[in-house]
Amino acid sequence: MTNRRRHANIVPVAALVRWVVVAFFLCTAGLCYVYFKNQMQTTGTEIRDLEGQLSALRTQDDIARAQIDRLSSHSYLERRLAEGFIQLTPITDDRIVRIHLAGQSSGTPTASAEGADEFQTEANRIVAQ
Amino acid sequence: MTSSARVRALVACCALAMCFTGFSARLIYLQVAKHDEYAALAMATHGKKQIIFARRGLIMDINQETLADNDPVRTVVADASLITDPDDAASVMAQPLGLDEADLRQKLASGRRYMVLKKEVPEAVAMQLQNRLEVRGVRGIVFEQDAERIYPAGTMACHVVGFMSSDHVGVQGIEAQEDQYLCGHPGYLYTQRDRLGQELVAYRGEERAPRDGYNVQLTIDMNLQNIVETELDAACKEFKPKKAIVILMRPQTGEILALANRPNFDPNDIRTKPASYIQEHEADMKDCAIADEMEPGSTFKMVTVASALNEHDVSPDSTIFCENGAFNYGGRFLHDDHRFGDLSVEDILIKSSNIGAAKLALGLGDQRLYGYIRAFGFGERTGVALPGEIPGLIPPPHRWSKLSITRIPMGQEVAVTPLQTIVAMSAIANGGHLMMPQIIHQITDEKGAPIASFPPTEIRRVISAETAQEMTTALKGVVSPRGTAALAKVSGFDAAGKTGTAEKIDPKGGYMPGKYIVSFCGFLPAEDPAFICLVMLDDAQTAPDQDYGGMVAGPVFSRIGEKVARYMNLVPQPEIPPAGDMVVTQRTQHD
Repeated sequence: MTNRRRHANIVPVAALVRWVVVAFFLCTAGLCYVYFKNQMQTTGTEIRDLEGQLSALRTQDDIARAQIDRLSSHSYLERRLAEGFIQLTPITDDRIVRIHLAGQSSGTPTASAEGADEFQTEANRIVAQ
Repeated sequence: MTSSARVRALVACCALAMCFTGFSARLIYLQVAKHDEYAALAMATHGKKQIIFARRGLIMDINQETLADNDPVRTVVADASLITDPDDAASVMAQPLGLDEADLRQKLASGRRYMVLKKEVPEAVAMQLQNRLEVRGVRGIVFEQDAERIYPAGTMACHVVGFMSSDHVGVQGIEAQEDQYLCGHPGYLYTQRDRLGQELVAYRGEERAPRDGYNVQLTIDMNLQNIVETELDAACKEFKPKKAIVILMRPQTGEILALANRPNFDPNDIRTKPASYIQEHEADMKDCAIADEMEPGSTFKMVTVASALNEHDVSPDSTIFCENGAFNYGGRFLHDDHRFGDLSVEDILIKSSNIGAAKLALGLGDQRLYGYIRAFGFGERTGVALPGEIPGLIPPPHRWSKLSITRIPMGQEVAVTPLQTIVAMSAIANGGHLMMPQIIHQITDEKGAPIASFPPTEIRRVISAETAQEMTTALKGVVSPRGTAALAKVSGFDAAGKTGTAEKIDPKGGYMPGKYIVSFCGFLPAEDPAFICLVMLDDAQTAPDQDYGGMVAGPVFSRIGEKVARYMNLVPQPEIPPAGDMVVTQRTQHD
């Protein structure tokens, strides 16, 4: 009698555990799938927004650069000069200093400490000649 | 289980199996057999190939000043199949886009999936409109990225930079020549969208990143270009020529530092004008420096004299009898303006004697003269990276008439471009080395890394260094008080050059009386040239006794030379004061 009851109420623990593990694994996998799918969607939306911002910044950069180019162009500056907006003073000879080096007739000469008369204003040089 | 129950169960199982087999067959049919069709349909419904805009490259001068740039704009496109309320959408969009509301309503109600509503909408307007549409919940309007080409320098260097057509293709100048580098490659991206039209980033398909166009850096220096343009404007105001050209080059490398034409145009105007505008103003847009051929006149004598000197037929001091101003050859008289007797070879250049040049050519013979003309680069394209260059016209000796040997040496019966003239003079300034003219310094990517560079290219050695030196000495004499270009003198510098006064060819035949193309091509400092400059004016309006290269083009060269020398920081040399007033002592018909 006792043995029969024991046999009738036996719980297949091993099988149950196995099924519980499988079910748990499936549930976890399903949840992970949903979580990652959701995460992917959120990240995708963030990527799309960031791409939009980046594109807008690039566009703003291009607009600013085009504006700078326009405002710093020769023709625009000439126009502003003609309108009297910009005042330019011609550089006179007394404000030009040339460094005269022996044997150098043209181009931008290099500085040298030798010779006291190497640094001379253009006006003085013309007077001296 | 009874047998009838078993039968019922079997029937039920079979029915279920057949049912699922039918489903499976249908599924396989849809998934495999009809895959491509439904995939395409799904793609058409929810998918989209999104074009990613590639920015066109910039054109810059040697100092990185921008000559052609992009101003971002938007193209407003509608997918009418997504628009639920065309009336509302039209009322929101009509005013900012400047469109007629009724027309717009009709378009939006058409149900078409791709309609361009407006091009070149400024970025600020587009963003404002996009926000308003979002607030109103209007779907189906897309603002595609685009750019309009702007030319900050306006008319300056317009013939070099060129312009683009409305469909974003380079038409002229560097825009056309380097279009393949400038235009870049747009990218693309296959996307999937949900019912609301929002992109499903997780389902993105194939993607190719765009490549922006490469930047083209020219050898043009806008500071020098500004000097040239200012002086050219002043000359045009004074002489009102039909055309005028100035080219500034560095003889050692062939780099073109400035190039200006008159008449000119503003490339910014072209996109706002109707399509017929280009045809109507074709003449203004022609780069006459490379696409116009003309008789060079006396500047061509440099070729004749250099050839004779290089062949050692004569020396600079050799004397040629100039027939006292009238030389009968082939039954026709050739005249000088003055009755020259004996002239040295150097003086033939200095006084621009037609008879002297003709006699030097007779000594050379037609084959040798022709050989030198071709060696100096006439009769072939110079190879400059600008579209539309013509080779000019140098007839071969077997097509010469009996008189040609006396006319070609003084620049008649041949047709050359202004660029060929300055390139030939550069060969003399550069010790006999003929350099290929360069207009592009380098091509870089958007980060500035070089893609291609263009080092100076020597085409050939034309004359010896000794001959080049002798020619330089003679050409210095041209700019001296006893030469034909005394007014081309640049204070503080030894300049060398040659004047030219060519009668204009009448398209009906012969020459147009009283109409001349005057020019001066010179370089300075003569012994170590920093630059060479050609000034050419076609049909300058001046007194007949003033219409000479030395009188019209010479002073323009002088003014340009003075400013350019200062900009280049050339050190002026001490001057020996002249004994008396500077006068132009001699002028000939073709000086």
